[in-house]
Amino acid sequence: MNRHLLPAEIDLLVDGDGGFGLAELAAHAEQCASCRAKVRDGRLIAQAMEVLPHAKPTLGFADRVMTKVEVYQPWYIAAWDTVERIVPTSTPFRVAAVSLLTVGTVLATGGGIWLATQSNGVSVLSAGLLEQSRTATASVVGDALGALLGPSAAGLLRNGSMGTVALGAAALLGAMALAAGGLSRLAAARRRS
Amino acid sequence: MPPTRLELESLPDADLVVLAQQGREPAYREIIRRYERPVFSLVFRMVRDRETAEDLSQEAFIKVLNHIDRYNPEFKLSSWLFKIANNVAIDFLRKRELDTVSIDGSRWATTTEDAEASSIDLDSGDESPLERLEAKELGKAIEAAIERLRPEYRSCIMLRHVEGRSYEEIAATLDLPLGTVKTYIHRARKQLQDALEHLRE
Repeated sequence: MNRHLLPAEIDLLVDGDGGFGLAELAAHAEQCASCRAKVRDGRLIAQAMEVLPHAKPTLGFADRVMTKVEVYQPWYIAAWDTVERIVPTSTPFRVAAVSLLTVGTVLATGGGIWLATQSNGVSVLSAGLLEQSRTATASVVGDALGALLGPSAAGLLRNGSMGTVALGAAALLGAMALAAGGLSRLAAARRRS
Repeated sequence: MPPTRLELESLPDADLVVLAQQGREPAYREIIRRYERPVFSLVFRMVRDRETAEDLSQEAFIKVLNHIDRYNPEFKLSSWLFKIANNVAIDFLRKRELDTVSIDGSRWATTTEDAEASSIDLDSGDESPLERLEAKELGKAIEAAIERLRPEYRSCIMLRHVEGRSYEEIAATLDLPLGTVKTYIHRARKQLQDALEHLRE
């Protein structure tokens, strides 16, 4: 090389990151006093800066930051945490909990099968319960829809079949879900802004 | 089961962010613990005033942590933090044109107590008293030279030599073309060399 190093080439040697052609540059710097001095000066600055210590903020910095940070936990993480809190941590307790759950499930299934075999009693009982629940649901949903859509919708539901009541309830639930979703998005947007 | 503090300390940044996105407060605190010094140092060396640096560092952390759900895992968490911190400091400097304050304290300090309160608090190493004095003198000279650099040069040279970032990382962090970063660092080194020329004698 029959010329002095360019500024970018001196930086390459100062940084020492390696790369194509670096050996040739280093060889030139070895032989050229002017380039060698520039590389040495650059390295001195770099080394002096590398040992500059970090300044530290005052005590309680993290606490002050956290007072202005909104920690948002998604609902499914909160639900999972709750489940984890309920489930015992030690193996013997886990075995006992699973055993209890199994016994409970077996008893409930057995009871259900026994009830199903008592067909007459079950059908009378279930018809009565069904009618009672239909009347109660129609009344609640009818009141809500009546407030939203007017008294004719409420009357239609109170006199309607189980299917009409179910349809009305589904429509009401859907509207509530949409409203809740909208509010939740609005709250999230406000929280981020 | 949420991880313990010890487990958090050994986690890489990416996993820490995932935990923070799940709403685990200890993960937020671990991010602050890990980066409070580098971020504060960068901001302090930009604005040269302790109280202001604390406020701006807090602002940077609050911005990042309140938007942790928008973190792009393609980039380093530290790069994102430095980017926000640098932007906050540059914005402040543009508003106040506050760029030349002594290492010994704020230029606005009117009493000794004020000057001490606003001076930089540096870690001490294991050197002898004489070495410590020489290092302190050199450190002071460099700090004084750094504070005379343009803010853009200052953040580039700080990220390169104090934080050990690559040119590509600095370019991504500061939203600058790679060539501009190289130019800024070259010019900053040159200005620092000129400023420290008297020490060689």
